[in-house]
Amino acid sequence: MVSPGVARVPSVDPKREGAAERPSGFSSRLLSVVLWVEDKDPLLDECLFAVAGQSYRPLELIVVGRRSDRQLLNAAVEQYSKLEPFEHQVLLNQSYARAEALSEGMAQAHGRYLAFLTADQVVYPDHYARLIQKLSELDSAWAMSGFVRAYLDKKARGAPFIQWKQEHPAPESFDLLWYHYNRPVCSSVVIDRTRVGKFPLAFSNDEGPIENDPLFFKLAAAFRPALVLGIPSCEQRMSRARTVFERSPELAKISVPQWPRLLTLRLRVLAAVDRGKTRLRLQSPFLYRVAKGIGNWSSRVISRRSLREHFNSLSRGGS
Amino acid sequence: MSKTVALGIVLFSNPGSEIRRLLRSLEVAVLPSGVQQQWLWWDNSPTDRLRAELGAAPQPVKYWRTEVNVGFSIAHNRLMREAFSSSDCDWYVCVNPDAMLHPRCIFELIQVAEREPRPGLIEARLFPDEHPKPYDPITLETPWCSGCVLLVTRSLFETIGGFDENFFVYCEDVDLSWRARAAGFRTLIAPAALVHHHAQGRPILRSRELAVRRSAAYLAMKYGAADFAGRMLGEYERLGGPSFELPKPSVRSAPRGSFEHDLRFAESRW
Repeated sequence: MVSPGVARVPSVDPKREGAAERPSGFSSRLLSVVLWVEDKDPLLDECLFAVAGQSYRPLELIVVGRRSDRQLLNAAVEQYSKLEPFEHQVLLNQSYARAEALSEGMAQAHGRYLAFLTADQVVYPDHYARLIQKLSELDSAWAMSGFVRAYLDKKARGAPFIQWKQEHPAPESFDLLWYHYNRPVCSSVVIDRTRVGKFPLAFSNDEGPIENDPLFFKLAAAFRPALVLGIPSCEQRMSRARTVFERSPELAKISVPQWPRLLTLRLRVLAAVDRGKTRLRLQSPFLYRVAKGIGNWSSRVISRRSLREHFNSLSRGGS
Repeated sequence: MSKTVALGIVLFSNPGSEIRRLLRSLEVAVLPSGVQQQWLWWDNSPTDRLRAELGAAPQPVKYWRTEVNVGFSIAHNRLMREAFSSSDCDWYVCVNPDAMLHPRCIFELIQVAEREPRPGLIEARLFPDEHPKPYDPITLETPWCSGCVLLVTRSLFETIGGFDENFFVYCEDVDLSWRARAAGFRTLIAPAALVHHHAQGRPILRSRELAVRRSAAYLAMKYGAADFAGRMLGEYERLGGPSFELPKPSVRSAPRGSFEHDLRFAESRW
């Protein structure tokens, strides 16, 4: 018999590579936020402050990563938990691979709701409350909000200076092509672990931008999300070097036997175009708008069909 | 000799949870060595319900309440006069009760006040969705300072006084900033002084929309922007606001900012 407030957890094949070992029961309203940190995360302080300011409770924060300053980090998290109390633990290991650390974080998470965060992201005060409210209204396995990419200027002294922001509101109806083109940041997602069945919540060994991890693409292909419309409520801070298509997830980790060469070429072109657009947006807004229009049109024309086939194969259970 | 920073908080029927959260953030606040803090509270609420919340404050507070709501500007001016009546008080910081201060917020504000030449007003950076108005990341100058968490220097107060009391609420911070710049003071931001304040996702309240337009119309009249004032009054009427008479500004001067950018009063970074 399941005790009140504790959901029954579907069993997971422990032999499946990379799958996180799950606790036997989840706390029914608890949100577990797994935060990935590395050494030299200058924005970590703001990220922690944003977590402390979340209106949603109960909340637990699990910090995982390969930093060496456990005591400092513990003290910082402890300090922020005094502002608006939340549970927390810090799991550091300098030899951690990211996938291993995140899996460990998930294994330690007690919450029914699971969210991911990186140190260069911030969440707005009602972000998790809105996502979980949406999950409670619908029977979706995960919820997604809109998000913001904030481009930083390194000239600023002492604190990050945001030059401009690009908003990506959630679409009114979910479309895998939209998902592919916009690459939602990982903090825009909350997963209800009682609704994913045997779906393996496991990250790949890729160390590129976390939003490019195949986990999120597979999740998007397998389950239709609950969409939180309106004002985007989380933010990815982008340095000039970091662009949306910095590394392509398809090229990195998703292996499809008959991979169309044309799609490979398209992804390379997209990466170059995206880097160019970022540079243009900062230097010449008008030329940026022109480039954006051309880029969107050409990439859609080239790849619409092959991408559909790819995502269809994922939703049929492809790896 | 130690210096004092006075934190002034004006209340109006706030939820108790907001006050408790603010108190927790003030409790862990870090201050520069040799600086003491003093907490001044003005309650515009119809009852003294919030006074009980202040009983949990970790240090003594000074608390005033009036039977009528005197508004934001008058209340802060009275607190400023109280603060600066003490000779060891160098700075007054307006703190909105719905804000949560970063532990180093006050520290960073004071650092900028002590480091920069001729500071008049120094604002904290709104977080996480910061205001899009511009600022110079090197000189830290900004066209106007938000009153959410705003440090006022003694020299500014002694030169131009506090807020224009014809503003009940809203836009008084823009006016004070423009007057400060006209008097030769600098209006600055302390980017590392974070204040957790969420305005973007707030529900739209008719009363707030009316108050904003009423204040914006007065601001425009004060600085000779008749077109903008007319537009604000038109919107006020369309929202069904009760009729009122705009106060006559005592002085008219050229704006130090801009009415071309609607209620942002400055260009937008995004």
